[in-house]
Amino acid sequence: MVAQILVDGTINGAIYALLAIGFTLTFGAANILNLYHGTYYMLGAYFVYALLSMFSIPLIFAVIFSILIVMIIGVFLYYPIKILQKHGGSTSVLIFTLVASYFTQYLLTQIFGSTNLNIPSFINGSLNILGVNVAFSRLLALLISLIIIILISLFMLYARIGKEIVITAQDSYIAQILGINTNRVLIITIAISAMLAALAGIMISPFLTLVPNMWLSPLIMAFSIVILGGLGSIVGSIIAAFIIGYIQSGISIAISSEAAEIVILAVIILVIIFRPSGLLGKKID
Amino acid sequence: MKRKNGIIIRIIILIFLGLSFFVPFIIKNAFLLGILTIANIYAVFSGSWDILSGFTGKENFGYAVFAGTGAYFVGIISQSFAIPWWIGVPVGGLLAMGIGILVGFPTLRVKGPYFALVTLALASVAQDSVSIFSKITGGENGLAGIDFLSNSSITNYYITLIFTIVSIFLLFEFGMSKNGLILKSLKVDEKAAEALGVNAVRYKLIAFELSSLFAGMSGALLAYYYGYIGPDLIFPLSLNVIIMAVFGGTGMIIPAALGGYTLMIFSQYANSFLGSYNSLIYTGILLIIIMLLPNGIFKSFYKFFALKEGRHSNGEHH
Repeated sequence: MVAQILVDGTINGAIYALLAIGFTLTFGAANILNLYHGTYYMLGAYFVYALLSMFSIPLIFAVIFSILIVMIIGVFLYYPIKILQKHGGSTSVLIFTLVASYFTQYLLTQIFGSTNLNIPSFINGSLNILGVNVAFSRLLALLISLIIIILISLFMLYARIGKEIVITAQDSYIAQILGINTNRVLIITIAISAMLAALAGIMISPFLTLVPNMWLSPLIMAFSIVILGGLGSIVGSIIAAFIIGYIQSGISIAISSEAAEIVILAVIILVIIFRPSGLLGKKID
Repeated sequence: MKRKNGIIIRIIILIFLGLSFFVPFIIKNAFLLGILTIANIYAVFSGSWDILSGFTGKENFGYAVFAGTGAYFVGIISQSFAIPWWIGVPVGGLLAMGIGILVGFPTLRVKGPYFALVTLALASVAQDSVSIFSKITGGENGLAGIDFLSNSSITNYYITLIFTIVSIFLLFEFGMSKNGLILKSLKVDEKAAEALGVNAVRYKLIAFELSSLFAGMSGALLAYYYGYIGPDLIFPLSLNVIIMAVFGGTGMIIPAALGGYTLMIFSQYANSFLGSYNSLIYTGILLIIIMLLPNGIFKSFYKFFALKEGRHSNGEHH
């Protein structure tokens, strides 16, 4: 059972990390809490399904197109959010992004119906790790997630635009003084967040049935991870993603997945009481 | 300040209030009267969401949990013995207040978006819990067998009407008092308010407790009206109450309550021809309103009149 928890937790943790990095980046750089984040994840999976069932294109193209479309939607949504942020403040941004998620849910319900849809496994076969049978497609998800997490970290550390994002996330005022085009930085940040979330959704889609309300639980998950890791901290959210991944797989296997949800909520409330800035977060004030 | 303005609006509100007492003499159709009765209760839903979220900017994304506490209390107790509504409603409200303390104390104490997350997650956990504990909660089927409010649709209407007027009046008075101003100052700049000696946590908690009290009471009242309670009645509330309050306009109680009242009537009427497009259209309309009329329909209406009047009485403002 321990081996099962370790394997499941690692795979979940890696996918959650993908999900949470974008969420925390958007918060850090743009000061936007984007409640549409879970919807990127859902749309990624839905677009792959739609592209595969409408056109007979290879899977890899479906994945790439799907991610591109989600990135475009993300950037497109950034404009109303930016206007709201200027005039309405954070309240209207939160409400707007939440309602936009529900709008997308109802739109997908109209298009695809509320029946469960399935995406076929990307590759077949399985491997025995520590006495646990792990499907290749799960290993693939783990591998791709880890590669992307490393690439993103390198990008943030060494690429010019990555450094600009980090600086903007730390202090957007200083970033402007340094001559960074923060508007461009924010658009790229949003596009990267949408890309990572869509990728997470696509990679997990073979193990899930697609339903139009599947955006809410990844959103809550990303939000919880980011609070545990500290709002705005990339390293914090990667660590927190794995912690939450292990907690979730442990309790799901030992008790049930609903119990896991309750325990995670309890952990988050404890974090809020005792360490509101999270493991590695910047202080909010 | 605002209280001196808006005489026209006050007169209009009084006329409507007066008219609302004569409704049962005009509308004899029990079905239509039923719609208005439900709309009364929904006015309290959106008005009580507003006192916390509209005033302080602490968005409650799990309103269903608080309304559901009152409603499920009545539903569960009624399985064992009948409890009259005038006991069930206040007790349901107090229980919701209890949940409010548990949720609010840790999350409203700290600055940041923690309250929004916890309420969002709590609603999801609560929905799961209703199916996990289906032996107690009735699961998807809900709980029937709650004593009806009364056997007459006219009595139902008057009970909910008086409940609504009293609730909205209390919430409005609180919102327009010094307390309401302090709450709004927290939305603008919590730090500055604290620097002026305002105990921000205390005020946010008071607003949240008021909000959950009225949420629980109106949830319980809804259970008595339908004689039934189930997830289909409760869980959509988390989103719907936001749609209704923002549609009407937040931060003034009455516009939010009117938003709940009118959208409820409209949705009951529109269900027949919108069918499954219903929710899609509401969320779409709300997105447009947030962008184009951030003050909401009724608050914009109020501001339009208040401004006009202001122009006549003291021209130096414009």
